[in-house]
Amino acid sequence: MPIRFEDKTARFDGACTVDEAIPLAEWLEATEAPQLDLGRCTGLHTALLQVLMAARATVAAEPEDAFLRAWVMPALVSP
Amino acid sequence: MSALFDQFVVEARELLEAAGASLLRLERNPSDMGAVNDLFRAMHTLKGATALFDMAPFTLLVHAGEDALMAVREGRSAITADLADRLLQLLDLGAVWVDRLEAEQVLPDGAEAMAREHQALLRAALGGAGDGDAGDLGASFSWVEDLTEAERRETGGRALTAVAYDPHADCFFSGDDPLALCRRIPDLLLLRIEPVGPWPALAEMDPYHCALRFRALSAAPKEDVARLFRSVPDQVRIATVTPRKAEAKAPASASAASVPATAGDDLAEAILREQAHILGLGGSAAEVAARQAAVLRAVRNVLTALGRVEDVAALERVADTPEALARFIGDLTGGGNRTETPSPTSIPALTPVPIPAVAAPLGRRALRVDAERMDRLMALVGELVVAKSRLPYIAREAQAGQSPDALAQSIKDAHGQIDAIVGELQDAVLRLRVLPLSRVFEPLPRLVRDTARRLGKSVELTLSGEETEADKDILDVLGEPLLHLVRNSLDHGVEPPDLRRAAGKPETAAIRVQAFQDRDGVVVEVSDDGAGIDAGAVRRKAVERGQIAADQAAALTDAEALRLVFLPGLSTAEDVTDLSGRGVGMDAVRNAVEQAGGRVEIASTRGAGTSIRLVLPATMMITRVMMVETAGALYGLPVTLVTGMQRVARDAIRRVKHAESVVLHDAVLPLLRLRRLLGLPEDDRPATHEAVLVVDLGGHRVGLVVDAFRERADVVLKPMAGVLARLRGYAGTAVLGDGRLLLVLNLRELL
Repeated sequence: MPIRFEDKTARFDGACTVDEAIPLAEWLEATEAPQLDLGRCTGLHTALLQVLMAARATVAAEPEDAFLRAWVMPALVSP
Repeated sequence: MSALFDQFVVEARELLEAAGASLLRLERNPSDMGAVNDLFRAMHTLKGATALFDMAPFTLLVHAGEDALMAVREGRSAITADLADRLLQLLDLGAVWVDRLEAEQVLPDGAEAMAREHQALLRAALGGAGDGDAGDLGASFSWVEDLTEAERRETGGRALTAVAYDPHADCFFSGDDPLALCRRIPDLLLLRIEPVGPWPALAEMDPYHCALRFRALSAAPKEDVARLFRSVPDQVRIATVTPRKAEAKAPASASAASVPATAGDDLAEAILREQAHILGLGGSAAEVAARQAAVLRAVRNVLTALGRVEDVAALERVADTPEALARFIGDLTGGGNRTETPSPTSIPALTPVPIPAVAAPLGRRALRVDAERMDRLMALVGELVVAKSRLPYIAREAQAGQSPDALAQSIKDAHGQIDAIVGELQDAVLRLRVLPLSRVFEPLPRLVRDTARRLGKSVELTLSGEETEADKDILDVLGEPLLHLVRNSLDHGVEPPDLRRAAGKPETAAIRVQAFQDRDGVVVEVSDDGAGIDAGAVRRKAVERGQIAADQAAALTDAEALRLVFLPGLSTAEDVTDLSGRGVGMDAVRNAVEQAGGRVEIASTRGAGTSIRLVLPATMMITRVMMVETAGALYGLPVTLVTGMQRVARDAIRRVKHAESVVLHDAVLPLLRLRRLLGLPEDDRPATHEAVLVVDLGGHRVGLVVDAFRERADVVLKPMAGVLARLRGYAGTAVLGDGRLLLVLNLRELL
């Protein structure tokens, strides 16, 4: 599974696909102050992105992937 | 190009035709869900096919049609006549593009603008929010002007490609991943990811419902970016823009009030410049006209959006010619010191710029041949090869000193064998070229629908005998006259509904087009139950126009008088309408048909309708000619023109000055002598009788005096080529069985 849910942190690994949107949304909803570890994320499906944006989750580790860091991160941290 | 591309061209044409037929079916019966589905399927398949190639505008165009049909299929919209019009226009444009693609492998310039135009029109016809092209574009790209200073520095004020990508809410279900797509934008300089609306509570959110939109700037050329987005042409808008540098202030211009407004003007100017460019593109007259209309609309929208009312008014004044329009746009965009309201005098005098009048190329259609017919041909060629191998054997026999009688016998045997095969081969080849008449019938339902709608008449078209077969060349000849006849019936034959009601006829008129095989060849009959033609009025007109003497006219029977409509002079539009008859281009119809070796017949009853028959030979390759001898030479005449042969006593010929005439079957026939027509010496042989051939030249019959009648023959007619083509008195030449050359006359030209 590219996304591992560990206690209060979701760790994204590799290319994360649309299949994980529902589990992710459910986890975010159930978890208090969820944290995101995008460090090893190389691809984020739009559906996942919008769930993250809607949930306003905290990004604990920024992605190393240049595209995600440059263009997706601002969308995740902006209010 | 590639075989795949060729296949696409053939298939696209078939799909467009199928779609057109389904659409007409649907319009007649809006509840015909089968037709909706067929139409939708055709569009969908076509869209898939276009997506295989790099032709985003085509995909966009078809997609627009598909969207509209989706609305119809889901019951969101009804199929109105307006919507049908739009869809038919869309199919027409598609057909034009396919022709263009076939010829040049690329879509015409400005195709994307045209596709968007159609998209907007379709939306309008659906009753949706179909804003103008330019308006949409402006709204989509206003964000470019709202960039932060940091973002502006990033872009450096260069010409950039801006992308506004608004994915459909259900795009995930079609396998799209918009973010992944944006990742692939070449030379990405800026990407903004924005929620479409405020975020709902997470519990209420549907993750599979796309709620994001994307705004991007790229340093790559527009085409490169557009290529990336070609699978979602309807969800993305791409334009070339130049974001203003942060420190750059708007130039002081009379109209510039605030920075954003000027920035908007800049985009407007870019759009206007693009319009001028589009206007300058070449192409067929139809393309130029279509573009001009699109450009006019875009410019009007831009000016309206900018609130430049006076310019809009000025625009309407120059809207007539592309040159004036181009110049007007040039004035609008030329330099920074444009005047707020250009007075009409600032538009330079028009110099006519020739528009390249390129005749629209006729769509070449692939000839689909039955595998069986192909096999038969193959088998015959095999037999021919075997038969051929007998000849060297005979040559060897001759060298070996075989007796002449035996040799002659061998050669005759070989000849008989080859002759039989060649005969069959010829027949097989002719059969390859034989096609059903449905091909020329195809455009008729659409023609009737459009014309009837325009004229406010109600017409039911019945086609029959589409399966009748004829040579491909004959079909080509038949197409145009047939359209003409049906159009005539619609225009002049069929009365408006109120007149029909008053005459006690059903309001819906009937036009029948039927084809069948006859002894003479193929017969196509166009009949209507309209007003019919007044033979008396035709007579009067012909006399007024000096085409026939009053006494001659009076001597004509009604049936003969009707044939006068085929005379060239009687075919101008105004006579036709007050004759309540037909005649528009009737002489053209007759000419085309006769040139192909056929003839036209007409019958009409006042108040009950008119029927016109085109009789064409089944094949043009073999022409049946009547041979005559004159001054020691043989001449041929197409048999279809000959209505009789008669030996006439010399003293039965009446002479008035040089004009001769004879009474045959109670009718006066003008008599012409072939020798005189051909400039040959007079016949000075003593004879009591003359050989007179009665020929029907459409409008009138004449007697042709020849030296002697000869037999009929089937010949392969070859048109005159090279310098000889200017000898218009001859239809062509044919080689007779004994090797002699036969000149086939074109009587109409000779007379």
